[in-house]
Amino acid sequence: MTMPPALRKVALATHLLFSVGWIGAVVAYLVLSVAAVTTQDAPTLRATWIAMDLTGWYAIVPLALGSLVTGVVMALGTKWGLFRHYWVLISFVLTVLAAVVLLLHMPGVSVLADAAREAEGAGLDGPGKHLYTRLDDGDLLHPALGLVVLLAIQVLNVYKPQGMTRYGQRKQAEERAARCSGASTRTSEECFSRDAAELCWN
Amino acid sequence: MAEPPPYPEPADDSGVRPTPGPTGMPRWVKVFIVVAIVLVLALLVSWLLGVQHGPGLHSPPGGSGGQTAPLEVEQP
Repeated sequence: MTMPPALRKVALATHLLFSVGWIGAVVAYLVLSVAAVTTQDAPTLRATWIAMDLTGWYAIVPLALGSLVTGVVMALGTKWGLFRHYWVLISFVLTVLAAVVLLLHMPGVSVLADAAREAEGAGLDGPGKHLYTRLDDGDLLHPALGLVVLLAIQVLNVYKPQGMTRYGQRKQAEERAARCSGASTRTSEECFSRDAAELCWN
Repeated sequence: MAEPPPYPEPADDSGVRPTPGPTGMPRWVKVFIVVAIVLVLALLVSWLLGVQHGPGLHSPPGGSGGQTAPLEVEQP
């Protein structure tokens, strides 16, 4: 079922909001991670982990889930479909993968954020330095890889490289046959040109 | 010599046009899949070698596994 144009614009705007917001939140998380790795200051180290925990749970996770849901709505509510075009399918798989890794990863961040809270008052070189075990390792790999994946999805969504899956080709042939059966020459021309025209709105 | 039209002219068209056969996977998709496999293998190897990669809940094989242990709190 395709959405009417007005609803499609609202859905597209919402999807863009979540998706671009997700990228922005991951960039903020990455900045905090770099600060955690490079700082020599105990309060800053604790603050970065607490901030990463808050950013992760209250910005990245909601934005990721929102992006996933609105992306599926956009795909199913338009002619693109979810499994018809390679760029949509790959974007969907990468988004699910990124969201799953994120949800598996965040509890570990919370554990270290709790440790950072409990280490208040301890210095990096004093008797309480063991409290910072693993905190100064930072968390660079996950947000860096996540950012690469999100940027790849963004590129796919902007450029929409050609290529239909076998499922998409079969569905298109079925729809074309249904649309063009018994059509006159002129309407036959139109029904063939619609395949491309229908995908030009985005 | 001019290229022949991909389909018959409309005047010759009786309403039934040859449907293009199924096309294979585009090259960019194949490249994408190869890059993804290489990345996954690299991560798998680093995980098997026990390289730490952040505070996730996944530990290398033979490790304690599961949740990261809470850090000890210094008593006053």
